[in-house]
Amino acid sequence: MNAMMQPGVMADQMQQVFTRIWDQEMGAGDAAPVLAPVLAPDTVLLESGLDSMGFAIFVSELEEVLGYDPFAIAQDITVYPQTFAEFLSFYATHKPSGTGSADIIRQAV
Amino acid sequence: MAPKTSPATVPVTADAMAPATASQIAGPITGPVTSPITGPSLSLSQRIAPGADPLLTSPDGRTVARADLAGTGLTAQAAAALGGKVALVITDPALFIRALVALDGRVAAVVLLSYALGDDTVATLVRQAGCTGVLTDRPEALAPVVAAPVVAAQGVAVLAAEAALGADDAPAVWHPTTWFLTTSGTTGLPKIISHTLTGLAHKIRPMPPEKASPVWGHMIDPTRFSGLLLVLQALIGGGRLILADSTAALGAQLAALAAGGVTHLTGAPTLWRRILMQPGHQALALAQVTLVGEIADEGTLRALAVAWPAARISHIYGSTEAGQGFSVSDGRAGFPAAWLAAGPGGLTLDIRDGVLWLQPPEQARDAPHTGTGAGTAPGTGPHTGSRTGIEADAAGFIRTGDLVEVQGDLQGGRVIFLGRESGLINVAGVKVWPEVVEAVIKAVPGVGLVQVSARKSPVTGALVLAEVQASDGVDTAALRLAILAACRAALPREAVPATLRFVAALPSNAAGKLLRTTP
Repeated sequence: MNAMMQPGVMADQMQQVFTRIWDQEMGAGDAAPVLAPVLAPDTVLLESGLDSMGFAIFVSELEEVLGYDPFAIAQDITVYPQTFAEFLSFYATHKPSGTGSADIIRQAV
Repeated sequence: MAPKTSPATVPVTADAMAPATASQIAGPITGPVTSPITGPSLSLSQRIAPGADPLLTSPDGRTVARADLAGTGLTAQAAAALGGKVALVITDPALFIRALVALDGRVAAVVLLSYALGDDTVATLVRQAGCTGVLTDRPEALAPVVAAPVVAAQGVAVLAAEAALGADDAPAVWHPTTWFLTTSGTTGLPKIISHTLTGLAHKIRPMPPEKASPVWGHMIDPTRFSGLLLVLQALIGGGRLILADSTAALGAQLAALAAGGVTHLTGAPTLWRRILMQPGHQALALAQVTLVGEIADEGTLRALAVAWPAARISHIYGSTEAGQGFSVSDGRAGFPAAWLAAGPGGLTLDIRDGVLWLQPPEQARDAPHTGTGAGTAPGTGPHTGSRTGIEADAAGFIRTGDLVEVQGDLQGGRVIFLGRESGLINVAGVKVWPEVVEAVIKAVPGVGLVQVSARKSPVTGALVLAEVQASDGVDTAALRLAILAACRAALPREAVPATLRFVAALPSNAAGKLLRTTP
């Protein structure tokens, strides 16, 4: 499954959360903050510029926004997602059936 | 605060006074020896194992041979400038190791400070520890703020090979060196804990010659306990050491380790999860995967087994309180419940009110300890650091402070680690005390009640969650910004709440005390 097959809404939400965490973690207090990169399907998230703390906060914020943590739901993660496309696919695959779009937006992003 | 020592006041143990052989006295640098070292108290340079060269490979490809490392000394001029209690603040890991070898056995004490510490923190720790000098590869930054002589570690003027040292460069005194390490924490300054090389290395055995010589990858700050143990394992136990550039991108670090033929790699579960998410990690041909510093969870262990099916996968449990620990290598989280009946390595384990108690083997009890101690989360590795204020019973069982639960029966079941009974939160290996974060948040105008707890993270193991009950009529959007600004100003990054929730009420007991939930 690649990013093209994912609902665009989730990709947009992830980009919004990513940008917010980027601004919060990377640009706080800077006079000329660096703009958050656009996440392309082949972007390796750990090489996006966010460090591991920033990435951890990004993942926890996704749980707040999307309403679930696929890492907790997935019983047997044998291969961790690396690119943004794999990340999207991972979230889509492990999305609980009860988590509809109305439930997803729990917090303004 | 650690007691100030000088060469003149260092106690010489009976062990250290035992007769030494001529070769031991000669060592790599000859000269007057007033307190010859022998037996288990050999200095680090004398304990370097034989084996293939190069022993060290730096991130930039430079190499150091065994004989060169063992022969690294401190010039007389540098020794005179540095005095008896030397702080090391060195970013280059190979230079750090050379400095450590040069100083051990020649100065009364070394204080190992992380390169990641800020200049002002270094200055405070140097003052508190009573350091007489600082050996560093950032002398320009430290000299203006540190109240002790600062000596640049680079160049042969300080650290020199034996052949480059003049007749006047021999050490005046040769005696056991006390090693001071810091623990992480959020209460302002790290705590300083004393060790000896003998204590740190007491479990390291030379590799049997019939076993393939390991190539150790090193990605952990060598001033941290687990990072230092890894250095000692390679130097004393045998094998070669490939040093990663901790300031480089993870992909570049892994590529360098793979190119160096690394077979043994150690890291915290947080680092291992990052490695698994890093393209190209499969290029590492690992025979041994070791997890330290945080609780190892089943999911991470399984993913590592898939990535390296031929590797032995071990996670290390260490209790600072007990000065003991053990390794679990069956690929599963926690440890076998059967160990409660017969513990590993002579340890006796017990669970009382959900807390793990540990009785060290008889020969390891009553080891001398000095200085101050601090608790750590599981997995910091077994060691014999000093500690005080530890609860023990008459039988010698020590309260580890680690919360555990038994899953299944005592024969085939499992003991799983839940966290610290103090509520201590381990964020990517950094210890966060909830009360410290709560105090910062409480001081922000508009905050009514606050409770800080751990939130699970698939990346860093845990993150800090703050739940705040705002005062009536307060604009919570503005309060959120004020709280985060206050936390960022007062706390390390790992302690700043990753999640901040405003709640209508927080649970409290009949006395009005907030109920602190266990992890």
